[in-house]
Amino acid sequence: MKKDRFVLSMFIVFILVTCLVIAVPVHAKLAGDKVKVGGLFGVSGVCAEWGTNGKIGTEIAVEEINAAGGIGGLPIEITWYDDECKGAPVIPLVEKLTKKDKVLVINGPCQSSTCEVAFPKLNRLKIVSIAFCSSKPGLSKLSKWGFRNTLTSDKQLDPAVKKWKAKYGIKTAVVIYNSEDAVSTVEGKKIMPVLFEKHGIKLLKMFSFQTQTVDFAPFITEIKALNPDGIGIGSCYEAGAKIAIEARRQGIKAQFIGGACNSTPGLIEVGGEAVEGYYGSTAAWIQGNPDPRVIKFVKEFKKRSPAGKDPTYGGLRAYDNMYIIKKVIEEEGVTNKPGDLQKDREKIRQGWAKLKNYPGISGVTTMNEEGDGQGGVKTLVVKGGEFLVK
Amino acid sequence: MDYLFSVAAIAGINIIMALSFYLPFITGQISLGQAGFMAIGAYASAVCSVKFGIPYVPAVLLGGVMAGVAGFVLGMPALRIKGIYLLLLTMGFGEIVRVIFINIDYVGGAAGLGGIPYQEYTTLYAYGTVVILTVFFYRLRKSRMGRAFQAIGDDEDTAEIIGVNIATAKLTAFSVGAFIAGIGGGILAHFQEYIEPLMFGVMHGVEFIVFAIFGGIQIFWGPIFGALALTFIPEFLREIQEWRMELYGLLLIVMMIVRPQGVIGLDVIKWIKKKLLRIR
Repeated sequence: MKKDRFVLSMFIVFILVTCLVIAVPVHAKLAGDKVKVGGLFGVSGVCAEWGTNGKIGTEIAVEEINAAGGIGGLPIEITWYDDECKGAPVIPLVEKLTKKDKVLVINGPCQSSTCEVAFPKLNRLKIVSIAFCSSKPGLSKLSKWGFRNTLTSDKQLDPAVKKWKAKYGIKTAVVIYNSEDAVSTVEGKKIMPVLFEKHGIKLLKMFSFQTQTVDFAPFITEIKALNPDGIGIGSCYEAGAKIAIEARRQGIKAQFIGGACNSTPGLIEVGGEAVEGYYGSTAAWIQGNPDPRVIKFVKEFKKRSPAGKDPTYGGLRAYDNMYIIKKVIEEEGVTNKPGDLQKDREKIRQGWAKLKNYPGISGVTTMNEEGDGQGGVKTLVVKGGEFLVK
Repeated sequence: MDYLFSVAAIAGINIIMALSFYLPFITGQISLGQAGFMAIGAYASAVCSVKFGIPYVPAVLLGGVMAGVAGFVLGMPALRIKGIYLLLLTMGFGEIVRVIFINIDYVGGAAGLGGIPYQEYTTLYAYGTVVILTVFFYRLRKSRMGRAFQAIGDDEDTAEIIGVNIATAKLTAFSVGAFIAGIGGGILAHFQEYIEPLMFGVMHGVEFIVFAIFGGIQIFWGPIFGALALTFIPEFLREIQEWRMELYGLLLIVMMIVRPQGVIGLDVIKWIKKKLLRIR
C-alpha cells in the first residue's frame, strides 16, 4: 500500500514537473515593449537595386517574426535610413542609429565602399552591423563588430570558373572590368586572373572600361582579334549585358562569366538572348529552388518589388539576417533593458561571431573568423531566359 | 548628440569646400574642379598619415599645399579662358584627377585607400578652419588684394586699366581656392578613415557650387550659410525617407525663383547690421 502511494506520488510529481517545463516558454519575455533594430539600405544611388532588395527582404522577415510573436515576446521595430550607397552619409547614420535611436543591432549596409567607411566606426561605437551584399574580400577584418552575411567574390567565383571551364572547355580567356568600381576592379584585376590560372585557363589580355562607357565596340573588336574561348566580366549587370550584346553582334562565340553583382534579373532583362549561357554565381539560390520557404519569399517579394522583379541574393540575405538576429537575441540572453544596452550589443556580437550552420533561405550560413559568411554559394547559368543552378 | 556632431563635421567640411569655390569665383573664375583639388588634398594627407606616419595637422596642411600647387599649375592655362570654357577646363581636370587615382595602385586604385587614422576632433578642426577662413575673407574684403579681386570679378578690362595685375590676382585666387579645397579633403579623409576615387566625382564639385549659389555669392557669408543649410536640411528630412531628396530639390527650385541672388545677399547683411546697431 505504502509502495503504491509512493509510486503514485512520484508519478504526480513527474506530471507536475513536466507540465511546468512545458508551460515555461523557452525564451523569457524581454524587457520593454519592442526590440529596436536598425537598418541601412541604399535605396538611392548606385546600389539602389541591391539596397531596395535588402529593405524589402528585411520588411518581409520583420512582418513574419512579429506575426509569430516577435523576439522574446516583443515585436521588432525597424528604424532604417537611406545611406545613398555613399561613404560620407553613412557615418552620421551609424551614429544616429547607435546613439539616438538606440538600436540593438544594424541590418546593413549593402555596398562594399559603404562598409569600408562604416566598419571602422563600429570599433568606437561598439554595435554590430551586418552587410547583406558586400563582396569585396577582406572588409570584415576592419572591425570585430562588422559582419557580412554574404560570400566574397573570390569564394563565389571559384566554383563558377571551374564549372564554366568544364562546360565549355575554356582554354583561353580575356578579362574586361569596370576600373571605377571597387568590387569590379578587384574581381577583374585580381580574382579572375588568379582563378583562371588555378583552373588552367590562359589569360590573353585584360581590358578596363569606366562606368559611363556605353559603346563597347572598340573593346569587342580587339577581343575578336584575340579569339578567346571565354570572356570574364568584372562589372555590374548593365555593362555585362551590353558587352554580351556587342560581342554577339560582332559574331564572337566566346562564353561569358560575370562577377558577383552580375547575377541579377537585370542581366537577362537587358541582355536578352545575348546572355544565354552566361555563367555567374550567387550567394543564394533563388530561381528554381524547390525550398518552400524560398518560393514563399520570392512570391511575397515580387508583390512588393518595383515592377514585380525577382529578388537578388541581397534580399534573401537581409531576410536571413533578421532571423539570425532573432536567434542570437533569444539565445545569448539579451535583456533589452535600457541599462544593459551595451552589454546586449556585446552579446549580439558574440552570437554572430560563433554562428554556425544556420539554415537560412539563402543557404546554410557559418561565420568565419573574419566575420564573413561561408556556404550557400551557387553557380548560375542563363538558360531559356532565366537563371538555372549548375 | 554624437550624431549631430557627425553631421556638423560634414557641414564644416562642406563650408570649407563652398568657400574654396567662392574665392576664385570673386575674380570671375567658375571652377568645377574643386572636387579634384579635394581629392588631391585627401589622398596626399592620407598617404602622409598611412605610409609615412606624419601627424594629423602637418598631413592635412601638406595635402592643402599639394592641392595648392596643382591649383597654381592649372591656374596658368586657366588665365587665358573664362566663362563656360573655364568650366569645361576645370571639369576635365576633375575627371583627370579621379581617373589618375583609379590607376595608381600605391593608393589602392579603384578599391580605395583605407586605414587612415581617425581624427576624433574633426568637428573642432573643421570649424577651427572655418573660423580662420571667415577672418581671412573678412579681412580680404577690406584689403588691397580683396578689392582687386572684386574689381576683376566686376569688370576685368576696367580693373586692368586701373592698374590691377590680373594674372597675379587670378592665379592667387585660384591657387588659394585649391589650397582650401585640399585642406577640406584632408579633413574628410581623416574623418571617413577611407577614401576612394568615386567620392570625388564632378557631381561632387557641382554640389559645392550649389552650396555657394543657394547661400548667396555676393558676400562670403552666403557660401557658409548655404553649406550649413544644405547639409542640415536633408538630415532633418531623413524621417520622410524616399521623399527627402524630392523636397530638397523642390526647395532649390523655389529658392532660385524667389531669391536668385541666394539667401544671404548684401541687403540681408545691411539689414542685420541695422538691427544690431538699433539693439546697441
